[in-house]
Amino acid sequence: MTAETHPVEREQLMAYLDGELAGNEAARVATHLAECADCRQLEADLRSVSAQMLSWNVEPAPQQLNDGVLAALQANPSLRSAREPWNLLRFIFQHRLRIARWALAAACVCVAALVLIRVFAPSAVSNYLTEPAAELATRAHLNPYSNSSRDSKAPAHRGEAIVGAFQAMPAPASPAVGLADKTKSFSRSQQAAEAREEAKMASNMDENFVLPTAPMIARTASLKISAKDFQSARAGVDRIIASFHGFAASMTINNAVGEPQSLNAELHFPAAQCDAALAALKGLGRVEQEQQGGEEVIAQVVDLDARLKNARETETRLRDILKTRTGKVTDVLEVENQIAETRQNIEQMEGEKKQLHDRVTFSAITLDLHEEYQASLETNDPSAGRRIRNAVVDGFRAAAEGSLALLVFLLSAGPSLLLAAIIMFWPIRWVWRRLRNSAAVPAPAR
Amino acid sequence: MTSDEQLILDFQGGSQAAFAELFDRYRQPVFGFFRRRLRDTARAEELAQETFLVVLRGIERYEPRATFRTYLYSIAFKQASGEFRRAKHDPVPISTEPVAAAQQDSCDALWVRRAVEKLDEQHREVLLLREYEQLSYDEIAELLRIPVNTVRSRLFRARMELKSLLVPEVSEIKKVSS
Repeated sequence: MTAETHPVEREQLMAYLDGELAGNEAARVATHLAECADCRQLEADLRSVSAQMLSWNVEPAPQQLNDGVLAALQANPSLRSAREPWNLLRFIFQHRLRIARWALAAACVCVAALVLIRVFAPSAVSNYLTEPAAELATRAHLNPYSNSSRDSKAPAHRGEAIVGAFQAMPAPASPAVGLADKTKSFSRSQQAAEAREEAKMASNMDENFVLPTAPMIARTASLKISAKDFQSARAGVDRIIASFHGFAASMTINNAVGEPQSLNAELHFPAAQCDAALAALKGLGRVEQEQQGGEEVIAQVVDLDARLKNARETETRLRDILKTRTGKVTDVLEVENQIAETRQNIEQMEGEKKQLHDRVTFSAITLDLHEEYQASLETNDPSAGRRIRNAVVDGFRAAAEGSLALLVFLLSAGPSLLLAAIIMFWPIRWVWRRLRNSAAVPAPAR
Repeated sequence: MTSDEQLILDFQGGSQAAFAELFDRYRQPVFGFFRRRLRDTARAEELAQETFLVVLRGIERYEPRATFRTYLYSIAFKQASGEFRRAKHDPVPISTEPVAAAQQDSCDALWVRRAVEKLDEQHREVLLLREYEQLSYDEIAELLRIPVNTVRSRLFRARMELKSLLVPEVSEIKKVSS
């Protein structure tokens, strides 16, 4: 059976028997079927297969299937509750035991949660308020250079905790009183011991250790100013620096020809006069951009003071040990090394403290002053003769460098190229001869 | 006679009688679907029940995008596929099953059953869906997620293969039955 003799494919015939063909196509297949014996044979085979398959019957569905599904239908709460509101009550009644169990469990969970909150929340809150402040302050006093995990945290974090303790103090007049008052909020079990510890530490405080009560802000600002007359603006900057008792930490002036003149400077003014200095600087020209900011450094200052005090005490104790105790030379040397190390740390911290103090005392203003652009007829271009001479020199240099590069290339790649040429010579020659000979063959005579 | 689609929408609207009617219509076909694919009658019954329970549980999410018959058999087909996957990991001993099945089936039925079992799996599924579940080519294509032309070619090959399988086994089966 081929497509030439049978315009109807066998699968089409099967689809026709299955009733899957549309009207026109079905009529075409039916017409062909009446004329073609082979296709009638195929039709008979297909019908026979289907008929034989029908002999495979299965037993009737068990009754349990009916019972299971219909029982589920009756007990389908979501459907019935959605469509029949009164069935909700019936559902609740039917499942009252289960609902009661869940309700009891939920009540138990709620009670347990309340109990846990009552038991743990006060201590948690008090710990939050007091533990970081008191304990961290104490630890900072005792050993600021400790390598323990707690002290290895960022100093800022420790400083924040200390500031939190100071802010929680009722009156900052006396550190001892403040810290003693603070201990009252400790839990009862820790109160006595912590109070003793805090009082002891407070009594040891240095007289010079003054707790800051006002915020310490390191102010910064940046100005971008465009001036018509750059020279007068430049002189104005100097006047402002002098009149507000400031200084220029850095200053760069650009006077390149063909470009607008500009001045970039970092100026420092006393914090009290920062606003006035800013206002004066703004008067130098048109303000294109202004930005102001401030950083609260009180936490760093307090932290640094505490560490500094303890370092000094450590140094004093070490010196006392060196004076009063006797021992081996190695012990003495070790103590001296520790004194030197402590002194180094003290000086480093003093430097940091001074830097912080300077940042607070003097506000930093970054000034970008530039001249409004003016096109200029002046030019710095070289003369024609000079340019010709430069071109000749450049050309000679390029030729020399090119020749040298070619020579270097030949020396480096030459042997390889020569070897490749030797290898490829005979095959290329053979191919070339074949092509030449084939082109030379005369056309056959007719 | 109310259509299947109308009945399922009525059931979605809260009519339990509509579902009972649908269940009555498809109880035996769905059981037969599983029974012809599984040798364990109890398991076939469980899966048939689970199929109707899936319809029951998912009625609120039902959307009439296809015929209910296709929807129902797609659920049944997924159940059967899952069962086959489980059987591959944890094969059930079937040494006694053919004997029990042979005792239940008639001679012709056993003959057809054995021949069908020898078919290629893909061809067999298309043939079963067409001959016993009476699904159209389009419905089979949608259910198996294959093109209609593929359904037609697989079905034709399955029928031709089954025809060749059925002929030589006549004498053999009759010899066994005698």
